[in-house]
Amino acid sequence: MENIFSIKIADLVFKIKSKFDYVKEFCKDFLTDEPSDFFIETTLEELEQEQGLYSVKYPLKYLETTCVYRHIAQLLPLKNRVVMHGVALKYLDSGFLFIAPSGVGKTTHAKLWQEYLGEKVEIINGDKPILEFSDNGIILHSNPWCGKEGIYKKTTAKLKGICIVSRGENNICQVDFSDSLNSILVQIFMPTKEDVADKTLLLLEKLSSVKIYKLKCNISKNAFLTSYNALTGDKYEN
Amino acid sequence: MKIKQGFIKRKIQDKYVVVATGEASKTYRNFIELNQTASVIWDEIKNGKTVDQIAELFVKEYLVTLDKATQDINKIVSVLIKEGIICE
Repeated sequence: MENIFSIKIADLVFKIKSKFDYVKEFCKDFLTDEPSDFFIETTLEELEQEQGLYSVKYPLKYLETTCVYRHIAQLLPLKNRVVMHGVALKYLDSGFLFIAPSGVGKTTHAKLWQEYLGEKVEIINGDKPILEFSDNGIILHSNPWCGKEGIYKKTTAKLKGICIVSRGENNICQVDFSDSLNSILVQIFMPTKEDVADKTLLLLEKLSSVKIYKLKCNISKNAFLTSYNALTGDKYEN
Repeated sequence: MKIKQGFIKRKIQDKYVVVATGEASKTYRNFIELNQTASVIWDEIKNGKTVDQIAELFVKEYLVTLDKATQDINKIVSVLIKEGIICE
């Protein structure tokens, strides 16, 4: 049953030794033959620890996928990348990131963009996109870990704006990075190693280079118009 | 009095944040924001200073009485103890 394979995520190659075939199947869109940057191997002990995080019992093969994700997320900051909980969306060539605690309606809001803009909108990742802090700006990357909705598209986009979503009457305003720090910090994957966590915080400071908005919205066309007009700087015409 | 292992402080723009790493991150999943004064207190605790020693330092450096300084430091220390970030 043991599998050795490599996947390319956020332009980095991870060689994985897994106990179950399922992990390879789960990552099938990201398989590569390129030389690896990192090696990841899961242990039974880790899978048990992983189970301990959930109140529901999951099959070991599923737990192994989340375990591999955790390994990757712990390594990414070493290569100037972080995992953020949110929905990363690509519209034309621009990337936008919607963040909020689970259940607020990030995915629902992203789907409104798809409803009104059609194929011009792609959801890069619906739950855990990767942010790469490059000399060229901040790049949103996809990966197969995309939450219960299971939405991802193997593509990238340069991050143009972050939208902190909450429910309410439709309204949007731009906020300072330091005023949005709390909302951002709680959605970031914080590595357990001290030096890597420190690196993560260092990288986060670079988010001050993009526009950050606080969006209050319901589920309506007006909700879409509110975020679309502010984030793109365009006026939506149908 | 000392800061428990695994907690790190970092300045992000004009704010100071404390996050848990390693073993500490298993029980502490939140993060806290410190103001300038709390950040200085944090550094002094890290250097092994007691509340009294930090208060004396504050009296030397700021326009503050020993009583007021001690009171303010204790307020911040008690929050950090309550949060489980420092132990006595």
